[in-house]
Amino acid sequence: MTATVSDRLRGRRVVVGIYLAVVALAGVFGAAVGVLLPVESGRDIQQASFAGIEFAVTPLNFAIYGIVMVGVGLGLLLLAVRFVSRFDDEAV
Amino acid sequence: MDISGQIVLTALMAVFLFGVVLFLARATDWRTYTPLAGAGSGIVSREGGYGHAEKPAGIFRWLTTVDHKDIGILYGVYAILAFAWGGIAVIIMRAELITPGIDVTQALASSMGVSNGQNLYNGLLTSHGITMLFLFGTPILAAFSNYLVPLLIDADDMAFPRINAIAFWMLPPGAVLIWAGFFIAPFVDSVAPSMASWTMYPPQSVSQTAQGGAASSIAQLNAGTDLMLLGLHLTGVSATMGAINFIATIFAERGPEVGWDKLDIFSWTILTQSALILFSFPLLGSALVMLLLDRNFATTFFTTDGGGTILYQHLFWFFGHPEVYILVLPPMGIISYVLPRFSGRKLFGFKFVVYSTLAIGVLSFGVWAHHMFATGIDPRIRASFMAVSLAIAIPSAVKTFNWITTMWNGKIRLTTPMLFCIGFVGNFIIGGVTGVFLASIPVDFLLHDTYYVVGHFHYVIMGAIAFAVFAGVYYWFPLVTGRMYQVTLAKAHFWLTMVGTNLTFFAMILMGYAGMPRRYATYDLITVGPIDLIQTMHVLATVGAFILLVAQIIWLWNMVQSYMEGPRVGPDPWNLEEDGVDSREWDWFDDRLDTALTDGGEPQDTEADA
Repeated sequence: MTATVSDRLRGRRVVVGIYLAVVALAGVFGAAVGVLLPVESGRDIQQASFAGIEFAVTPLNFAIYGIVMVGVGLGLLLLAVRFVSRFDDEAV
Repeated sequence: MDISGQIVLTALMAVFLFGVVLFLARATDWRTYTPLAGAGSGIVSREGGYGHAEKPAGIFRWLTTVDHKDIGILYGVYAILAFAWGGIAVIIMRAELITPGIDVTQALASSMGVSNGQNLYNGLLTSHGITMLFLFGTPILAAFSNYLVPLLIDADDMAFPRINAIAFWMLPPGAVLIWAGFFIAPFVDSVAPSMASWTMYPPQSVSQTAQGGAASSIAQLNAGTDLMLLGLHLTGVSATMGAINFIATIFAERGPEVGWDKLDIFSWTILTQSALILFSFPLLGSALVMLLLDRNFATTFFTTDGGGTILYQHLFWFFGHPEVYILVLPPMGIISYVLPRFSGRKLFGFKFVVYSTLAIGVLSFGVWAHHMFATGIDPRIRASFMAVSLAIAIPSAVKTFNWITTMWNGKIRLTTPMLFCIGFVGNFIIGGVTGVFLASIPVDFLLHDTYYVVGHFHYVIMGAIAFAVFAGVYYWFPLVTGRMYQVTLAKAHFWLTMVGTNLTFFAMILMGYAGMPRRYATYDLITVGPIDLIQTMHVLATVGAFILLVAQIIWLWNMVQSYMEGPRVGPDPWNLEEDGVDSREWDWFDDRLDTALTDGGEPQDTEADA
């Protein structure tokens, strides 16, 4: 029983798959932070702002925030990977 | 019981133990691992170098061995035992934290000879940290490097085989001393497990009694802490001896075909790690000796305003932060080594991965004070340490970038080692990014001493370092045992470990946001957040910890059973030659099998992890 070439997955499909999973997870984590921040005693955080955009601290807003931040951050990294990989002599 | 009764009991026990040793020595069918075919004989040296012609049978072979492969296995077994100890300690702690009050440890405390539940929790906390860092983390990496580096660089053995053996044999007494408080506490009232936490900060570590309060007089100091410091010193000496040996081996023992340009990435990381050990562990040794002198001989290194507690923190973290990279660089080497094999190609940007390893090694000595931002040190010093701490993210990011690009242009086989490699990259990104925020002084002020910090470094230690260790264990399991592990169990191990790790440590990061302080056995009196929410997070973290426990039991079962009964593998169990990514250690394995066949070894049936 040995692995043959047909069992193999294209690397970029795997990487993009992981990217999508991580971005979705960031949404879940964002929602968790959105639940947590308003009920934390002593600080009373109800409003948040990023780059001048104000929004209420709710699970939905923070889920969107997490998806956008991680999506853009890791997305830029992936674009850089895509660019650099053109100069990869060892590509298979 | 009177004294004479105890003496008789002791003598009887001695006779019994002597009998056990005699029995073990005579048991000729003791399961003997043979590195090269032919019972009792080891690798035969080439070109008149060092060899292992005759090895005694039975347990004496393991007690007297100087073969780097045997010592590697000894390190591995030792590290797994320590992993179990540290794991059980943390399972008790996590069980305690399900409820806000004190209950589980309170119930255990009196039977373990500890005054109350909080003290037992603190003892477990100390033991968990020290065990996982010094008795599991460093030795498990030494297991890989001892077994593999001489094979990878085509050396006959380590440069100093006997020093190698001595370095290992310092570890078991070190562990016994470090854990001694737990063994002695049930019998002696004035001794308890050390509660100094793994950082052993004075003034607490200088004055703590067995009861956990401040010392009323020197005579009441908890000897458990003294024993722990001595044991820690022993493990530090062991690590330093090992490091010197690796540096000498990689510099002087490389085979004729292994120039610096041909040195593999794993050996590069071991070389860098050894240099870090060489420069940082002596600092730990000095600080420990000064601490012992303060405790027992009334010196005042850390007890007055002259040097004081901040001096200790500087000395400790000058060791302590490089220690982080001592633990993470070889795992990065394992990932850089294994991940390309299952991407069917060479590592992308090999040279830059080596450069980033060296850069991390150098920079790691310039970041220590970021552990001390909240101590009130000079703000100008703080700012410069913040800059270097942010800068060290760059070489780490370079590595991550190269791993992703290697996968991007590769053809991936999702074998268990590869799954652990991918898990490593994912967890390392979370661990790394949460760390970058902590490097920033204002964020650190907010999150210092909360569970956020605990979540951050466990993402690196469990999520990354342990994942790389598992990747390495699965990848080289056929090399060491000649057999294949059970694939289904291995995949179950991976997924449970991945889910357990993220559940446990992300809950901790959220708890940190809510302000839950670390190192507390109870949280019924906290004022930072709603207790029911904090408790929910603690319960989630505990559920995650129990998932991790189940996963590791599955792993241990898989390793032991597959070692005994797993299907034998052929010379290239991972089909590396198909992709042209075969390497020296598997060539050695091939030679070993050939020798076994000519010697009348068992027939081979192959199985690969598909």
